Amino acid sequence: MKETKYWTGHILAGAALLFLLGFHFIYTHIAFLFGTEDNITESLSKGRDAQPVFLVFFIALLGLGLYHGLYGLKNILSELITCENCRKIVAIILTVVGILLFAFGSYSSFVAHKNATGMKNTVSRLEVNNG
Amino acid sequence: MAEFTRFDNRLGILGWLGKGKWGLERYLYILHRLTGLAILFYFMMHIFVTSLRAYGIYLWTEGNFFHQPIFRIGEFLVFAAFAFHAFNGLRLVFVELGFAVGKPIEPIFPYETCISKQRPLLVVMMLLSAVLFAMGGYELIMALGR
Repeated sequence: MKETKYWTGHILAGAALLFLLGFHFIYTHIAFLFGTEDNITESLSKGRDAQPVFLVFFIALLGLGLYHGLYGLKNILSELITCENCRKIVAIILTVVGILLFAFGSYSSFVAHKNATGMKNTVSRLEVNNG
Repeated sequence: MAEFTRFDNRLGILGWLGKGKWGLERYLYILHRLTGLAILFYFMMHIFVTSLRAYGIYLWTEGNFFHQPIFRIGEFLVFAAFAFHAFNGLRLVFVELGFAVGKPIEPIFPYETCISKQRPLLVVMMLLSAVLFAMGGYELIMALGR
């Protein structure tokens, strides 16, 4: 029953990723659709980091991607590994790796957001001071 | 009496290939796994590279290390893997949920399989994947030409 829930989560995460990752890939790698030459310039990247909606988007993408990917890897390894205890150890290792990467990625996104917002505020203050 | 050894039917990774005796769906399933593993590998590296932006380092932007043509080609390969994995995954979800495989019927000779029923779905998904692949290819050619 527990495994069914994890599998359902895997499918649902996959469906959500189809849209989220689809948007991410199309926006960053098919720039001609948006009438631009390059959507991954430094100013555009920093601009995205400054927006709270993109912070939520990146963290959602990170969590869903890690869950879907690592659960898929666990399934493949479970099929190849014959020893039951080894399967459990692999599942624990992948869970820990997933949690650590999620924490690391989320923290970095949050810091980047904070830096970009701070930079935006400083630029606004300078513009106000300079009239 | 023949002796049985445990797991003597386990073929491991080589068993995925099946010596060419399986149907198209099975090979797409294997490609689904391989592209999934490739995307996961890229994703883990991507987490580390993009995390550098917390220190103000944007390695993938214009003039930086990952903006070189070789990495643009690598990115296109990841995009192609995504295009296949996403649409084939959608097909697998539809089939798992019982869509596009036809209604259950009595197993009466001559037997029918659901493969012919779900093959159109496979063709549509692969065409959608090919469209995305072509768009990514066009973008790559444009980017390399600049």
